[in-house]
Amino acid sequence: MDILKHPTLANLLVRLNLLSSFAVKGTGRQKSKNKSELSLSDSELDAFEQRLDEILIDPGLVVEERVYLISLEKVRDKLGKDWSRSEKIIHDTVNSILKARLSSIDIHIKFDELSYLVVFTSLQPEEAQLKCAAIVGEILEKIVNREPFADLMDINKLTVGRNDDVRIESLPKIEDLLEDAIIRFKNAQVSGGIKAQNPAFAKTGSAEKLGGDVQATFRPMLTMRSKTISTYMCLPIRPAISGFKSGYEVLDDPSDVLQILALDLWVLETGGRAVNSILTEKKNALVAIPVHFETLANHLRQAEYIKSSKATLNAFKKNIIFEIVELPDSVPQGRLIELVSILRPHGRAIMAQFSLDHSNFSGYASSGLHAVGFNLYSRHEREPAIMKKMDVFIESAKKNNLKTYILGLRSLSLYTAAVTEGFDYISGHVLTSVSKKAENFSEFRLDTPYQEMLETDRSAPKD
Amino acid sequence: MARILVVDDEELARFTIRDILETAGHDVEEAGNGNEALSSQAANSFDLVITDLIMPEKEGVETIVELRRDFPDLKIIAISGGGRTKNLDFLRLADEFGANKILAKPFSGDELMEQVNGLLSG
Repeated sequence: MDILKHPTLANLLVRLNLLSSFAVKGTGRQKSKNKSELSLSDSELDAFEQRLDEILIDPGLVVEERVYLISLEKVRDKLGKDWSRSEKIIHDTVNSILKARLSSIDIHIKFDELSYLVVFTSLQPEEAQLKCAAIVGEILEKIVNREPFADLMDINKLTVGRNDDVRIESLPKIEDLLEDAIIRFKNAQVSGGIKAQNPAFAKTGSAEKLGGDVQATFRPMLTMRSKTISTYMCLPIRPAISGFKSGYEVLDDPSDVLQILALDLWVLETGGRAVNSILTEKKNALVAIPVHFETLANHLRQAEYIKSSKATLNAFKKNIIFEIVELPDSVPQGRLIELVSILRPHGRAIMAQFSLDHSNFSGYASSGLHAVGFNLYSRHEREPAIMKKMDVFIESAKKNNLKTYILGLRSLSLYTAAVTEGFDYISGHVLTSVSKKAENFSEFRLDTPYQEMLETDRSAPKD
Repeated sequence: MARILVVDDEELARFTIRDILETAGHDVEEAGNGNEALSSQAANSFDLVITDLIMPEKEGVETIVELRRDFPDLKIIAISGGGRTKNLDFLRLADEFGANKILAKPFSGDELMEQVNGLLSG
């Protein structure tokens, strides 16, 4: 197939190539022309271009070396007169495999009667090549019932040259392709080249500023209305002799605002990778990312955070919840409202963590905040006192139409109190363990926290 | 006449229930939470425990599980108002995990005595 006879593809690729320089030069995109030269209908092409626009609107999203055109031309030639009988089934099969194997942020389109254009937006080039080869292998297994590495499909990697010409790199046989991709992949891993699936993640360089042993853990949060674990809170921790440190203690110098910024940026990247993984694995969940008041309150640090947020999270913002943490007790409402309005466009919702002693949320109703909450991890007073304060906290929040959340539930008594008081979101080790990654939505039964004691009970020796 | 333990973190609730039971001729002790209840039951072997569910330190469902494990023949009534949300799910859990009877607050003296008498005569 002569791709250069398809100017729309060339135009699309020009747009893709312009994408990586879009943020710098701010150049406009070319709209595709000569649509009628393709076998696609105008409406199909419009839909594809709209989809491309949705995906590629983020200037941080890079697609170079991730665009593939796979062709069924040889399959058609091989089948000969059987092709017309098998054509529909073959295309149905290819479509269903592409749908199943591509993430929700990749794109694919049946380009003409015999080929499919695939853009792997969420993978590194080595990974994209490997995945493309695997997909082609699977297609061949299904449609021609051959060994996966039979040489019956052409794979072409498309790039745009310096003069905006379209270059087609015809890739060798699938088995060679797989071997080559595996070697490149391994080499990239060894050299530390694969740090994240979206190249935008590698840009902030915040990991170095924090030192090597900061890790992320994900604490599940229960949405009470639906009784589901729907959100995973991305929490930075640092191993310590007595367990681990969290919060400010993760930092070498908690008073260093640049370290706080570095931590926030690192969590942003980590949270973004978590969402990317969720979507790539065709799961669904939200990830909550904490950001310190200190980062947002300073104009320069705020700007850096927002810029990074745009670059890293824009494709995922429907799955991101920001949690503003370490708010001073005395923060003026107007200031908080301003910070919320700045952060709001970049995520699905904003939560703000207050002290348990906070008892007045008047005026917060129109703040843009989705929820207010507190963390019990560092509260050491006795439970009767905690429960009284929970009551006061939630009463004021509910009066002002704010949802509420509580973190750090550590006992069954606090759990039952949180549920019956009406907290909208709850979290803590009495409910669930932490996990190394964000998982899928899952159902939660109210009796789950009791199961361990019931199991212990059942297994205890009878007198 | 039976020996009955009333468990509730609210003093007024304990007082009200105690008054009803003592009027009916029963011998009543009180506990402010599940931990106190377990200690008291171990020391006194009550015939019946009436316990609230939402309590600090050790809540009611957990208390019922432990009481049932350690005192299989003990009669237990779980009571609860369901908190701010009137959530009675934990009453259902109490029923599932070992309470003989459950009673949603607010209840009348007659309703309480109906459950008490039913259990003590059985």
